[in-house]
Amino acid sequence: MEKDKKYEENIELIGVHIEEGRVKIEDILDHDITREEIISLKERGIITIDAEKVHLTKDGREMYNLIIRRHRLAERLLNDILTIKDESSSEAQACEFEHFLNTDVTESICTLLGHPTTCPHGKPIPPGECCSTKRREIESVVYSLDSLDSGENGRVAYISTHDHSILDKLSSMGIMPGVSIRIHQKQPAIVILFEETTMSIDFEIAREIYVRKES
Amino acid sequence: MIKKRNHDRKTNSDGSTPSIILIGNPNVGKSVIFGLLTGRYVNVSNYPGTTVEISRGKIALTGKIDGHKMKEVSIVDSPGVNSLIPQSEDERVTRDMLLREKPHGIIQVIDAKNLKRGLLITLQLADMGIPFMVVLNIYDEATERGIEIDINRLSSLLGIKVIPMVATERRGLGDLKKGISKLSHLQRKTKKITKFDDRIEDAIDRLAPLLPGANISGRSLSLMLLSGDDHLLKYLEDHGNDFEIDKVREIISKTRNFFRDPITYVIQKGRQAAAGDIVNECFHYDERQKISSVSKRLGDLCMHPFWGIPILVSVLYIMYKFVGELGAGKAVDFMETVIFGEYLNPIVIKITETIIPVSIIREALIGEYGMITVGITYSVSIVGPIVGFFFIFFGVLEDSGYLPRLTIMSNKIFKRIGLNGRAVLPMVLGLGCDTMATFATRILDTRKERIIATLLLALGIPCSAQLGVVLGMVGGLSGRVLLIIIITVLLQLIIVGYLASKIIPGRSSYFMIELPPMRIPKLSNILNKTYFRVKWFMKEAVPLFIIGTFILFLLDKSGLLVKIEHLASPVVTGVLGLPARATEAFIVGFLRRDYGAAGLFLLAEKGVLDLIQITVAISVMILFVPCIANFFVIIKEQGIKRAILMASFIMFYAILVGGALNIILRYIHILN
Ligand SMILES: Nc1nc2c(ncn2[C@@H]2O[C@H](COP(=O)(O)OP(=O)(O)O)[C@@H](O)[C@H]2O)c(=O)[nH]1
Ligand SMILES: [Zn+2]
Repeated sequence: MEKDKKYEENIELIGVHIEEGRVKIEDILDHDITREEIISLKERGIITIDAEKVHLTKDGREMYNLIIRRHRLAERLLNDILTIKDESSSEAQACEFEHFLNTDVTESICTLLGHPTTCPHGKPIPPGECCSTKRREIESVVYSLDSLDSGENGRVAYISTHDHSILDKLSSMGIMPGVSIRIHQKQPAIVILFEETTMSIDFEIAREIYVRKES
Repeated sequence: MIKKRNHDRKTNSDGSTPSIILIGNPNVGKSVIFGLLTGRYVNVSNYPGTTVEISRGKIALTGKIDGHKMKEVSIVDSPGVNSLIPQSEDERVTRDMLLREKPHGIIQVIDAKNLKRGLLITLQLADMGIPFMVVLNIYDEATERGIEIDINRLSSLLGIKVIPMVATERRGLGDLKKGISKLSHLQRKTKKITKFDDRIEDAIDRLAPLLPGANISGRSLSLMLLSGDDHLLKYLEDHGNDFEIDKVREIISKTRNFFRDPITYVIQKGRQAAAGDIVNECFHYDERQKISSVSKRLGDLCMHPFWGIPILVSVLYIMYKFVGELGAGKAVDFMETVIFGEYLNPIVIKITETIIPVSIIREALIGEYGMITVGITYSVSIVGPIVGFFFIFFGVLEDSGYLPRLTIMSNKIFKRIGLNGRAVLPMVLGLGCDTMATFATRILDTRKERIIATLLLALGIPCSAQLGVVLGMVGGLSGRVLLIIIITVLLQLIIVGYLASKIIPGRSSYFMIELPPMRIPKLSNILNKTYFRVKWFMKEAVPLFIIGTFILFLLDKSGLLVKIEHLASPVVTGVLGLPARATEAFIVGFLRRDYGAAGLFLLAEKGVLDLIQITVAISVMILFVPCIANFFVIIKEQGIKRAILMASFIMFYAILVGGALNIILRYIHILN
């Protein structure tokens, strides 16, 4: 995990340098990254080095876009919604934060924020899939499924769980983003209806499914 | 020559008949279809190295394959799964069967109204390349809900045969049989229906050529490997020469690293999208056709926070009437006194006496602790009918859809003791037979849950044989006695369960259960299930009763029984405040729980026991070490070490509770 984090941070770092036009290895080297790490990025097919100049490969560009998108969306969220203005702490938090966001969460944040195109510093946020879809109706905030009342409906926005096996189980039952779920009852256990299925799930699981309310 | 080769292709390498595997989500009617196809000629066994049970049978087919007349096709029922990427033991077994059994074809059963979920598996099968077809079962319920499925369109989108069916009414059976005989003609062919993320498609293209040939296509194997199926990696390493495992590992880890989400989720999303497209094309609702159903309202009531409770009480009452009075009363009487008492045993005793001259052997067979007169007679004539009646009732609960709703009603309580609502299934089964229920703890997901459930079954769930006698004995005495006994036992279940959930390491699983609609059970289906369960019981449990009797016989003959009685009687008299003669009842109770209770019954009738003593004795009897068959099964499931640990704990604990109860009752004067 730590290693992956470092790896992503390195991609981000190099990408930002390249984006800002500093492509020489020396320019990059004195910024928290070692020559070994640069070589390793090259070996993993993220960058190419030619005449001491660094370029992102196609893969590398894609990775960088994903990473920087998460980072900048996180900045926006902290800045706009949670109104953390202190520049240094906001930056540090965004760095921590971005590592915990999966694709669905990222898309939801993006939607929640109205698909922003720039970060608070004005740098571009690469668009994600959610930004290109035509139907950009004004979205309500996202709720966890257990906070809905009996009889209410919600469409799954994302599932946020640390336990992959729950994610796998839910998805093979057909509970995935986009599926509309109705809360049938909450006592003595939560019973949900979706498509033609009636299912009972633990409170703990319901809390990890995030939905947008529907009428 | 060519003919010969063709023939080989159509039979397994070991020369057996062609085989077909039934696959599907849980509760889609696979067992019913399996029963329709095979009739009674079925063999149920554990899948090698696992606790998962699978059934095999044979279908007689007419028709020809490659000029050879087809007579038989063997068919295997697999455990219900929601995915072929293994997450549970059941799913691993199903995947393994596809890999190792080398089936000629697959029949996938789908619950028509849940087409989309079924398609998630269909798409995985399409990637595998094994010839298969789809049965859209439970079509009647889909129609009731106003669902229309364009079968032809679906069939052409998937490129396979699709058959609508109502298994419980045998509708579609003819088409299915026709389909099966055609299935064996089909060639293996991978159908790329799902288009995954480019990264994944790319990884598949690079992985597939590196993998050794198997019964499943390289595309499908690659997807499983990407999903992190390490068992499979091991299997491939063992089965392929020059298998470049490092290269494979590298591609896998690179691909997985690229995605922020778990890769299984990314893959599943791809399938979900493909399934969604198919459903959009051929699955439609016609609201006008929809009938509002009584079944739905009834189903809602059964899990209603208020109405669910009176329903539960009524169900228990009916169960008592049916299993307790009819089964344990009338049926047992008939079997024990008439069939065994008047006919079988006298004959057997005669025969044994004439052909076996050695008296010790004779005694082992037909003596006081004789394997035939006690072991077999007891298990077949007493436990047998009770268990049979119980299974009929249990089958009705299962097929009506009530059982899963019961898990909802009880989830909260079970959560307190480290289990979840699903544990209600073995617990209810325990009221029929603890021995069988201990096997049924396998349905629980984690080791911790299985240990707790096993322990509680042994400790405080009285089986129907015992319940019958206890109720008969206490019922006539005083309502208070019964109430005190029930409270005492329930309290211990909660206390021990709670403590066990804190002490035993490991984790409990989350509760997640699908609730099928309420249905009117089909008698034939229930009788069929009961038949197999009783057969199972006879095969697995009866021998244990016989062995148990034999051990008791040895103890008796060697004089150890008397010694144990001597050793135990100070505890019985001192701690529990019971007469010394009660000791024998407890020890015999280990062999036959109801016999022990009956022994106490006799003492009570003679006026040797007062109300307090009866209350204490019965509570201890219920809490006490389970019958010997149960003990053997605990050994089988949990290992000897844990079994002995549990039994010692229970023995100690039961006496402790009995002693405390004795003191409390003497002190508070509610019974004297
Ligand atoms: N209404 C209806 N019920 C069915 C049909 N086929 C099976 N069932 C019921 O569905 C339930 C589950 O069937 P079972 O064979 O045990 O499912 P399995 O878990 O897939 O083996 C049983 O109660 C069956 O009686 C059908 O075609 N129509
Ligand atoms: Zn967006």
